[in-house]
Amino acid sequence: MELYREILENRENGAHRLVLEYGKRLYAAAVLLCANDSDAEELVFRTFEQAVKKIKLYDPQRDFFTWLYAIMRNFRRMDCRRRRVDVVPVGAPADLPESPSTAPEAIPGAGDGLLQTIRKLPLPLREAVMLHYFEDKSVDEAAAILGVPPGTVKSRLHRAREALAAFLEGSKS
Amino acid sequence: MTDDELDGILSAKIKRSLAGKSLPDAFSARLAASVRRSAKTYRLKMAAAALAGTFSVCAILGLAAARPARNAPQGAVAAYPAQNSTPAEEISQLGILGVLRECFRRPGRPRRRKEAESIRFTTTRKEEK
Repeated sequence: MELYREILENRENGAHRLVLEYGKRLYAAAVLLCANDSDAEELVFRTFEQAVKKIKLYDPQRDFFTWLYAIMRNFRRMDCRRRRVDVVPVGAPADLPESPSTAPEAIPGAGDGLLQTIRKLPLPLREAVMLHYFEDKSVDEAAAILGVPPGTVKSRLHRAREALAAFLEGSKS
Repeated sequence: MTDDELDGILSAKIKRSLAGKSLPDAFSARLAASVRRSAKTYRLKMAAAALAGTFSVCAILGLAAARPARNAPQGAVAAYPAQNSTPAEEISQLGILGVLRECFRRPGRPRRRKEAESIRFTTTRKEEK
């Protein structure tokens, strides 16, 4: 049975299946978008809760993960507006760390250092990184999901790439 | 290093870093419990709304109850209010609605002014005879 039909018929069973099928993938995306793992867990919880509550609004023609991601993205943006943290206007120069190797949690060669560097990027850049590098979305697909022109996604990826390349160079030396 | 090569390296490293991340074991049970609680809360709210709606309708009927019919025999309303009352009045004579009517009745006014007047009028006419 399709997942959304199962959620419609029996919300509890549907919630279990939702976590089974999309939990790991959505959590990984949330880890990139949030400052720490516990925030990411909380964000995923609220996303799944909202998805089950509003399952009638889901359009079966759409990709289910894209719909979940849209919910999560809205929550994340609401949280950032409330805390007024790490949301920069689109087009403004990104507030990139001066030297990734001097970041407190940066451990040369360790994956966690890369995650910490990504977490220091502004939210729009992190979204582009998550969709392009983790979800393997093309620039056009990422632009459609984010609701911005492809040129904007290319610009964000370019800025993110510069910061991450600097981190990789620093971690080699 | 070209952008494509860098993209390949970054993609592999990011996926490797995130491969070890997973939700806690209790996450699924916590979500199911939350869903169950929301459904219960929704049912309680609907029941409360239905009760409030029913109560409002009854209160409106009681408060808007018509006065004794104009063509009722004089004194008959006072003597036999149940037989000569309108349907709305009969409903309003139910306990709680009667209390509500009393609450909203203007202070200082007798309960059934017209009935009192009609009794007085009847009595006066009898005396004249």
